[in-house]
Amino acid sequence: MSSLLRREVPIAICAIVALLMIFDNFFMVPASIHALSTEFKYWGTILAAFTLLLGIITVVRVNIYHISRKTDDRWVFALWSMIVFSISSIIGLLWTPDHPAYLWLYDNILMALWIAMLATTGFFITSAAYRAFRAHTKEAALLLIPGLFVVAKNTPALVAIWPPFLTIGDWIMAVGVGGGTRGLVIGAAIGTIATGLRTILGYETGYLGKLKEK
Amino acid sequence: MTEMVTLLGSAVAVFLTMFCYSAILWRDNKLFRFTEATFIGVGLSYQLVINLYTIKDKAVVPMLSGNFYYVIGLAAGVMILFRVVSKYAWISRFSMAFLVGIGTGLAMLGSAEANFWKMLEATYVPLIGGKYTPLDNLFMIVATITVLYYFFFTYKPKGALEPVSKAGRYFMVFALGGFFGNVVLARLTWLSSTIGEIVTFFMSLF
Amino acid sequence: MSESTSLIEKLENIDKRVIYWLLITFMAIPFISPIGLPVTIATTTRESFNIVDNLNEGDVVAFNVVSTAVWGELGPSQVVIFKHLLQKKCKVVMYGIVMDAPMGIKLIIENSKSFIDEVGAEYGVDYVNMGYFAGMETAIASLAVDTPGTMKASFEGTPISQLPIMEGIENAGDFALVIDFDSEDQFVFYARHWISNYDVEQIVIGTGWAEPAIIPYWNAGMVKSFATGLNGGAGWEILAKMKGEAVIGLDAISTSHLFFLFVVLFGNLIHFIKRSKKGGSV
Repeated sequence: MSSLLRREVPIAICAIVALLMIFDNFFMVPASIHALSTEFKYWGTILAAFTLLLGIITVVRVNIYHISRKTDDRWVFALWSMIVFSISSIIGLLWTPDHPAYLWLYDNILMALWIAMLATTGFFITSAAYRAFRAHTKEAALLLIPGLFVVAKNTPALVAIWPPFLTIGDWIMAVGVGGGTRGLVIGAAIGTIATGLRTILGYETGYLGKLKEK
Repeated sequence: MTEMVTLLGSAVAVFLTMFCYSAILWRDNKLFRFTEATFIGVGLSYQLVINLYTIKDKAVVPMLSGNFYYVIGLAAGVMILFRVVSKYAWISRFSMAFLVGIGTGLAMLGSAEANFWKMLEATYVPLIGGKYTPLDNLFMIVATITVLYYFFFTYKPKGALEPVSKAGRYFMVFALGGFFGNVVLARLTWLSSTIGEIVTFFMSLF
Repeated sequence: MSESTSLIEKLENIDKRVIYWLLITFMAIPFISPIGLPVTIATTTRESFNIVDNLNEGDVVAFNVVSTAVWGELGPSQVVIFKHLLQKKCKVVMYGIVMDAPMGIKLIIENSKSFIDEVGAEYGVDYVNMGYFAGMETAIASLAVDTPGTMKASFEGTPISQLPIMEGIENAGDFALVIDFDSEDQFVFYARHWISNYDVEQIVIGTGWAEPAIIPYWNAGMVKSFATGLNGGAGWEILAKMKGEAVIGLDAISTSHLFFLFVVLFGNLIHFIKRSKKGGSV
């Protein structure tokens, strides 16, 4: 009974909901079924918001662990993290995210650092270009040469000096990338449909978490 | 007063960005760790605030306005949070299954229509006509078929089919070269915008 | 012989921090002393501009914003296209499926404040911030089937029934156009649930790394046209005759890309010199 409730029922729920989505799109279903499918899609957006809250709980737990154990080198920063988290959350929840104080925090700390953290990949791709992007095999040369032409196409100075860089780069993107990527997209679509079938049939159960039941 | 607050904000943003880059341009240091911790704190808070407001606006307010069946959706959402307690984590499975079911259904129907059928339609075109030359059309058709064939792992290609698989690999590598060129554009643009902010800030002070 | 080998090895194993500092120097130069390189407008940017320019007064446009993390690349595009839509007297329904969408929309509106006053656009009538919808593909599918039911209220909490801009909008088919600002693959979700099922067109303004993924969908007609990154934004600013920040950033893209090309070619040169000295084997 326990195994039925904790394993089979969730798998059945997953299958029924997935089939409802598919049937609603491909078949003429009664209005009540269509309304149910529409309502389920909406509830999905609410449940997604709850799953994002899960991530917060996990990170807070990890930080509290480091603070309580006074882990070398980490606990001070974990404590600072939690202090900042608490103050900003209080501001955001007591007033609204619209409040000038919260907007100040967002614009000058979160957004600035988000952009900065993402931008660090610019450093790494340049150092990788120096050390690793070598045309030492046929495949490596086949990767590098169109890549360099596309980089040249994206450089306004080079296009101003020699306009055919733009034509060649555009051809590589529209035809070269278009053809190869289309194959990848079709392959990925077949993979998605196959994985979806496995999920509906109950072979994929990763979303259930640790399965103690057989 | 507003100007001072704005200037203070810009200064905070610029200096935090510089502290962030100090780990890359120099070495790992406490300023970077402090910046990282600040980012985590504010980021987590934003995630909490925006999601709570989303739940309030999209579920709680409609429920209190008369749509009482929204309590089922809210209860399903709260069930998800049980995942963090290992003794009661099994309660979250029902809601997760519901969510995965929606995602699976939508992904399958969407892939079948847009990613599979429409892409096949786009491949099945006359060689002459359309916005591309006949050679370009031939290139794309051959590339699509050979790349698809490369991913057939059901059996190892032998004999006459081996060059087809090899050709697929080369077409895919060529396409990835184009990807690489554009990834460089994206990353260098992101970096140059932050460097521009820093330079512009210091120039405005002098 | 050993001296030149040692030089080759020193160059091959150069501290990466030297490369980083050189990179930011090349990036900083155009901000200190602007070069003013000419802007080449891509064909697809022109096509996208013409699609927006041919919209009729009163057309309602779905304006899906991107994360503020890529504001440096797509911020200027979002601002100039928003202004262009207001200039055409279109109605702009702004929302996003990324968490920082409401803040991104606020930034766009803030950066367009003087233009909004100039054209006399009114919040709730000509443009509105509908906020954030969690769930990625689920959110887009839900918005397609039942737009007012999914949106419910603006980000500030004004119910849909009190927003004149949302009058007559029942589903995706009631929008004249979807403009998707994208850093990943949201346009795929639009292709799957909006374009496939409703009579609506999509243009995508993507980051550099979204463009290769967009191409097959553009070739298949699920994306009507697209523009990429800062180049796209600069082209739009010139076509719309609106001054913005995209053009300023292009010089830094030129210098950084030139340095990048030099780094790749130099690295390969070092590698091949070393290989030839070892008699062809690495």
